[in-house]
Amino acid sequence: MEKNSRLIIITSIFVLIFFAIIAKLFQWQVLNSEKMSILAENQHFITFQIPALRGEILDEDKTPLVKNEVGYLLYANLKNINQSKEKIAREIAKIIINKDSDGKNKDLLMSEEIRIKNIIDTKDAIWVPLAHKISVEAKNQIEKLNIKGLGFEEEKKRFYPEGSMSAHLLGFVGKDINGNDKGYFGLEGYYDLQLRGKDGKLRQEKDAFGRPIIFGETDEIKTKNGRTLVTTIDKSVQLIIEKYLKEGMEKWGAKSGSVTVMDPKSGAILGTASFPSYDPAKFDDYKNNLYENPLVGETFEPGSIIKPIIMSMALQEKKVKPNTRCPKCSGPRRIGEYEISTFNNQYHPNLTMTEVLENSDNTGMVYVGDLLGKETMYNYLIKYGFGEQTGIDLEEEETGTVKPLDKLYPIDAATTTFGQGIAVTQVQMIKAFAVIANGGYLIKPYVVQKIIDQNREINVKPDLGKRILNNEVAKVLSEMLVNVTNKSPLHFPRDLVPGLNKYKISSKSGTAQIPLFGHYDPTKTIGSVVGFAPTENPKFLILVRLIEPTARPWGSDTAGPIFFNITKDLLTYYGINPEL
Amino acid sequence: MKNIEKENKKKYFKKTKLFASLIAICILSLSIIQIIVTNHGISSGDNVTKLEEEKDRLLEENDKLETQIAKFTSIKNIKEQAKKIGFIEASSIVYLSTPLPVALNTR
Repeated sequence: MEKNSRLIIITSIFVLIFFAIIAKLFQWQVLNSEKMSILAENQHFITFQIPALRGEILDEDKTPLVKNEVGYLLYANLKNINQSKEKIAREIAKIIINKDSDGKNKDLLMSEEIRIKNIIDTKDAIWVPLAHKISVEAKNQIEKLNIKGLGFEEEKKRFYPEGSMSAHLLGFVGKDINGNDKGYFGLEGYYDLQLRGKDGKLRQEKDAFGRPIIFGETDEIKTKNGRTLVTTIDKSVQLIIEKYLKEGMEKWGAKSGSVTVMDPKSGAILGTASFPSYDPAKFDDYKNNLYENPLVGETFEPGSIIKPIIMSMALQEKKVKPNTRCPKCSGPRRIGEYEISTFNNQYHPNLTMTEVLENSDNTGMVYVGDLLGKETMYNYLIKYGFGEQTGIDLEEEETGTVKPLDKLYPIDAATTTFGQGIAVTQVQMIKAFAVIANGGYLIKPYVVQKIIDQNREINVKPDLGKRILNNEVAKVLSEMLVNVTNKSPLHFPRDLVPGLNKYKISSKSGTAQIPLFGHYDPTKTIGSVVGFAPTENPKFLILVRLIEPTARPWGSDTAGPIFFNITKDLLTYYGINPEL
Repeated sequence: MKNIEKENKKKYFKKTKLFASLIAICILSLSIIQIIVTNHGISSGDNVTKLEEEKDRLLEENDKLETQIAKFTSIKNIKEQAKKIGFIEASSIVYLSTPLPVALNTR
């Protein structure tokens, strides 16, 4: 009996233990299965996010315009912070602002200090990011402070070997609403998806010491680094145009200015500069209105630089020839209640068409417009691409404005012939002028010529477009513009630029008034010069534009010297022998 | 007859025993080999980590050198350095070859 009761007791104990084990297993494997899986996953596996490298941007020689360099995310583990928050914020702000900025702006320092202190003060947070993409030097200095609770994580940042050269063209990399890198403006904006790449992930089985197990389970999503862009930009050309633009703006007291150089045969943009500009590495330090690229984002009334385009239409339609005389050029022209005069109130009766361009005669251009007819002129303006985007591979391109045909009243048609009442962008202007330079084709301007993906190169074919003018018309007009360069009383005497008189250069200057609340501001102008050289076989086309030059209002006086100085240097750079 | 049967049974038993022993030895040796290889592989995880760290370090150094090269070969830096060592902009250009004339005027 005693033996039986002991057996029963022991058996019961074993059964109880058995059920207790089952219950615990049930609790772990059924009720808490998700939590246990996660714990097991963390214990057995380690997962890395492998960030994709953003693609580089190279010049036509494949040297870098934009690269990636090592930067660091500075973070704080708030539980381990044991110093005064104000002191930490002050020390860090001093290093970051000094190292990554000019360090002269006290307001910037103060606001950075407040920002960092507010982040450290965040309630219910354990880990907070204090500053993104700080330099290696800044990281080393912060480490020397020996502040407990601070740590660093590597994150790549953009580096510009040429500083702020071609900033508007390149754009910059900021953050999107999720805190991820995103390109804005210029090439960084237009090609953001291509440059960004795709982050990868690696999940590896690890041992008790955290080391990877070779024969263990491994899952990998391969990282796809961003594509690299090879542009058409020539750094030497860029340096030349920036030098003369800066000098010219200073000399003539211009509010802003731009220069663009393009190969008129292919549409490749060889260089483009605009000032005032900004440093894309420190875009935060500049006002938002500087980010927009004036080449594509600003519209303006072109003034007299559009006259060759209008003349090309009349030549193509055989309405005029170079020696056709203007019978209505002896005085101002009356159109309805308006009177159109020349810019200097000087009139030359019976001007030839060549002389109309040489003298930039508004009344002569109105006569050309009369012969053309407003409908034909409007159709040609659309053919030339005015009023729509050129399709250049840059972000934020504007379309400009061409009055619709049914709203093109006689006075509007008349003023359009000398570039008022129509709004264009600089890229539209160079695209249209290239038609004259390249023998009649409407090429498409572009900046990226090649995209490099892993080990593959994808060439971007230039779009040579459709023919707008006959080759003969283009040649004739090119020669008329040589006369403008050589004989125009308005042009900057190019003999003042040594060596230029041995070349044939086709060009036209223009001075446009600036519209202001329904009328034109009498005190402010936009001075421009557009042209190409050498005339017979153009290697480059240049557009120079100065906004509100204060020393003199005329394009020929202000943009003219910049144009001819750049032309001289480019002719030397390309080794083009004198023709004359 | 019984003796022959007994003999055959003995032979069969011997063969079976031999075959079973061979199988057992194979299984045992393969198990031992697997343990040795797995152990070797697992302990190599440490080496893999070290090699990956070294690879990361070299890639980072490569990056830094490429950045330095980009800085030193930038056109602005070249211009500054050229000025420092005494280069100046050419004041006049002389062309050594001139284009041939299409027609010559002869007497």
